[in-house]
Amino acid sequence: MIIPVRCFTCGKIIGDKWEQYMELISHVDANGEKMQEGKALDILKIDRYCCRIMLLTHVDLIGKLLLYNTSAATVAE
Amino acid sequence: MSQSRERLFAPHVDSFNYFLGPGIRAAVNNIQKDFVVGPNDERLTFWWEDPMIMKPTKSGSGYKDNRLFPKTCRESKTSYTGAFSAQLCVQINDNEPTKLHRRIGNLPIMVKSSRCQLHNFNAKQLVLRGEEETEAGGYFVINGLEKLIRLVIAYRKNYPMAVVRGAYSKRGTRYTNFGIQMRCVRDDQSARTVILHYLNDGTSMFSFNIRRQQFFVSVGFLMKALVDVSDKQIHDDVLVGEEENTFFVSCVEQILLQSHSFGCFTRASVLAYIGQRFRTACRWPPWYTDQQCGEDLLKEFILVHLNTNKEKYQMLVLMLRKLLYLASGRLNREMEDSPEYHEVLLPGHLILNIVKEQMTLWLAQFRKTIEKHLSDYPSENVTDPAVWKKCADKTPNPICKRVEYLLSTGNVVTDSGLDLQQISGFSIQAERLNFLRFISHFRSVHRGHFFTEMKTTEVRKLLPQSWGFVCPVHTPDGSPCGLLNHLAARCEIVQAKADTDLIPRTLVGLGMSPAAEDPHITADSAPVLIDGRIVGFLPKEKLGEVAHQLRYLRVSQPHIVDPTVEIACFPHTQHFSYPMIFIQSTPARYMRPVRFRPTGAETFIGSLEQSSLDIACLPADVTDQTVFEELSPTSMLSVVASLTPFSDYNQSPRNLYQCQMGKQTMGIPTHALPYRHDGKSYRMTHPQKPVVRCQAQETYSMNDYPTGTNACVAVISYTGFDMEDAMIINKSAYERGFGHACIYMTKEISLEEESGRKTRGKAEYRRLNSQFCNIDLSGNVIEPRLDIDGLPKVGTYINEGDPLCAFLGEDGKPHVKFHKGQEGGTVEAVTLVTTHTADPSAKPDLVRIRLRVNRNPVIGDKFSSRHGQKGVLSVLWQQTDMPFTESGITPDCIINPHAFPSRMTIGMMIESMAGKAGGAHGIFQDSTPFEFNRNKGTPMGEDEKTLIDYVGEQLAKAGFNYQGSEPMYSGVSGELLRADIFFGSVYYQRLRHMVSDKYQVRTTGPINPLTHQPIKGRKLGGGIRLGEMERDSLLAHGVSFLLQDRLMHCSDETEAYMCQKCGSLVSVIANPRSSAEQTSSLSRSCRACGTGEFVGKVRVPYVLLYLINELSCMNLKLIIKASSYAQALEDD
Repeated sequence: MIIPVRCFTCGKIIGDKWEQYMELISHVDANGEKMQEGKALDILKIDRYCCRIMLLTHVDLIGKLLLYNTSAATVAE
Repeated sequence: MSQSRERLFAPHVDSFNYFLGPGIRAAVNNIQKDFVVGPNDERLTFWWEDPMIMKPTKSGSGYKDNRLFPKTCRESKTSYTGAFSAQLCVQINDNEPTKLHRRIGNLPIMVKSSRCQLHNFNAKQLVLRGEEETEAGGYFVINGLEKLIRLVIAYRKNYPMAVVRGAYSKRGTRYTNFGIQMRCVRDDQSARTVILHYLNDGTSMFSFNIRRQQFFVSVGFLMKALVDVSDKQIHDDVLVGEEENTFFVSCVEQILLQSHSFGCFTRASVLAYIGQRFRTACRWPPWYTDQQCGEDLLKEFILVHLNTNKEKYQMLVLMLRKLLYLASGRLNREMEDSPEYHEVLLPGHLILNIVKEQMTLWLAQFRKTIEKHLSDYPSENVTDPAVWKKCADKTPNPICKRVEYLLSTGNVVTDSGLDLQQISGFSIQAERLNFLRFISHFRSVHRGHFFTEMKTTEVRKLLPQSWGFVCPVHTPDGSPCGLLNHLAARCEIVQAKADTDLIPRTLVGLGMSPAAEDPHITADSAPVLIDGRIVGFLPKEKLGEVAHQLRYLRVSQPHIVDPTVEIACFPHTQHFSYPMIFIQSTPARYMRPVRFRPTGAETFIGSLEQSSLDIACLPADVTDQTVFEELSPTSMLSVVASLTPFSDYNQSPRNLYQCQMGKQTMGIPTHALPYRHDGKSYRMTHPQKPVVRCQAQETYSMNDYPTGTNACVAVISYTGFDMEDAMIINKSAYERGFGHACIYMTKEISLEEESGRKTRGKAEYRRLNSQFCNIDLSGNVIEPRLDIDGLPKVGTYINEGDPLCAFLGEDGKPHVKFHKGQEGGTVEAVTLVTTHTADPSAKPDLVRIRLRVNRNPVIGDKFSSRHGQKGVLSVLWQQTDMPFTESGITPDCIINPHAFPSRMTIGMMIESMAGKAGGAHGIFQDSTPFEFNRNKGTPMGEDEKTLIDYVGEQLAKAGFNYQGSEPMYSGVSGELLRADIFFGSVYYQRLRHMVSDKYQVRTTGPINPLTHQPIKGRKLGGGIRLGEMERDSLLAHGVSFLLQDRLMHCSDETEAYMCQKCGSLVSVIANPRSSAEQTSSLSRSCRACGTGEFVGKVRVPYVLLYLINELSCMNLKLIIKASSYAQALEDD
């Protein structure tokens, strides 16, 4: 679904990091290589492995579920 | 969608596609023509032609787009069916046949098959139609439910299998355990199993079935019926290479002697003799001569996979030779429980067989209708097409009904038995609890219903022959263990019959002498069979070489030897086997990919072929002679089993448990949630993908349907709440969303059912007057808590007893339905549908209210890691009191170290370490079993690290302890704990067994009306029985007050009146109340004593009154000697 607001384990706020994280790992550098997840997490200053795992393993299903949004028309407007 | 995931459904979808295309055409062509002879000797012949199955459409008119989609059927509780029609051809004598187009009915269509409206839809189109974007089909929609046909094991086609079965000796006197069984299958997949029995007088009997009745024919006699053959010829053919063997010689002598005993010496006379005997059993038309009947018998029942009698004779000789080798102990029995001799009964083939039989029966029924019509109306002419049409319309037509019946109940209705081992249990409902469970339905293969009641465990055994075909791990524990298996992930079921026309010529080039040209067979020659037909003979010592050549061609020249052709070789060097090459191209076999080392390409091998191959599993096994090599050591695992991380480090039963628990996990069951109307579905709110995952997780895109969360787990004995597999969850983690989930419950209210009218399934349909509405006929609001349309608002919370919907009944009276069940929920969606899809203007008559019930973890809910380590939540512990590490991390979850020593799930420990290292480095860890040190023993593997070192070094690099443990501080005192605590990240699954679904509490409540005792059953608000053993233990404790409370006060205690004089409980009646008396209590008197003087109140169990009543019905009187408490004291 949507990423939880806080890391389950330590309570650090990670909900706001998701979009930055996605941007970082989809960024392609000069060699045509995508950024490693670990490096992206370092840049975001997420140090503890509990919070890192939260970002690393989140499945953003909301996009898939929204395909079936029955009130999609109003959303589009 | 990932291609490999779609392949998992292929056995179902492809076989149904076969049915829709070549299957039904072949079957209809093979149906025998039926005849009627008219009064003037005109012969009316009729048969079927041109079967046609259409895509499902809406049955009514007036639709802009009349395509019918599965979603509509699920919503309206109808079946997803397409029109099935065919030409009924009628021919008078030898005139030009007339074709009548007949609509046979509506046949259930498999979703995503070639006749499904969704066929070839892309993801976007599928989403538009309310399906999963990765929908792969494989199931049917029957009355709104998703049903599929279970794969059931059948014996390998056209293979003469040497079996030893105790039941054979019970077939008659002199019968022994020895037999050669062969399941002969025609091109249209209809089967006839035959058995060649060995009798201890040296003779042999051939048995076959006609309409489930078994018949026996002497084998020598049958040989003579097949071809014109002399005794000398039979003698020579059977005794090749064994001329000196006295056992063989005497057996053949006996067989020939026996064949003489019928007094028939020419083929014609033998045929006539057989034809005459079987005339009644086979119901041939009266004008057939006996000889024609005999020919027909051979064609219809004897070795039906072969087309010519000569081939059948040669096959019979081979079977007899094999039988004699078996009986003389020179051939080992072939294990019928081994997958070598198995294949699968596919859904498409089963349906095809049913449709074929039903169409045949229809013709017979049609014949009877015409005959009856002609006798009823002698004036009408049998040659008149109007008569045929009338009769065809009158003939009952259950063809499509039978298929629908099969799918909805799993039962097969059959006249001939269809050569099936069972007639029920063929269909199962595809539950979408989570994706693993859903996929397992399509990969499961059942051994057959017959074996479930068998006392011996022989059939359940895991055999080495099943390597790569059937998963050794993925089978349930308990009664279906070993009988319900699952296909290995890469195992495929062959779907189409491959072309083998070029193989015989190739074989001749390799030194085979063809069977058709009466080759000179010597002791040195071994037969070559293609699909159970002897095509030629090869010198024995060349068998292995030829098989290798063919396998080479299978890789390099697929147009000569198709990749799906199985080349099984029984070399003469193999002791106690019958040397031959058995080539098979028929569908429904197991095949799996391996690497063919000479070319390096992937090739498919079959299960019979595998047994005589040397396949290297690991690189160290490869030698210069190795021809085949496994693609991966995980090839043996099923999809579900291959998802268990580091399963090679676990004790094996734990992996088996995980296969079960993986299928009971809450996760994301489906993406198309708004269009699903399952009665109950489970959803986890924040599922994650595992950090430590196997390759299969990616191959089958399992991350689309995640089933758990990564939890920080400490293995420590803390708080005392973690005893006996209980686990502690961090309360703050819980509050931040850990383990949160909900269930969707769909409540259905059907106006049709409410009005007591069930029009479903019936042809006629009247519109209902009732409608959902919140305003009655006089204009008043029926239920103020509901909306104007009589339905609840989306988002309202519904408690027990709150209104669900209001409607006006058939008579115009208002009705309100209330929510039953202990749990309340939020209205997530309200769906109004009509179940009458044929009527475009039908009003909605069915409402579905989806309630979302919160199921966040509570004490007693069940969790599990992926290693068969399940536990129950025992307490939500304050984070402030949890132990913490040096970096300040508190665990999400605490488990007790005692969970490990006896269970030996080392895989879980490694997962914990690897998960921690993966998180620290920001990488996903590969946990594919057997992947580490795969190259051990080869030069490549010399400097490979062990898994433990690999993970340990990763941990050390991230600044953690090499062994995965961390120093921890007590959450209570803040002191350093004296031991390092094993701490890491493990993927935890939340299982669907929740306390909220199971708790059972009662003070008082519903009672049984007859005994006034509490009823049982959680749903009904009943209690849990305090049985005899519980009573015994209470007695032993001497807790008599508790005992009285349980058995009396909380049960059926009642107030009764008793006459102390006569000691009766039944004779006391209430005196009629005179009008003057207005007192509340009635006076009572005893009928027997005629006075109320001695009547007193007693408290007794109600069943006692019942017992006394029952006894008095049998003229037995029960007297109770009682005195009041005060009286009793006085007497003392």
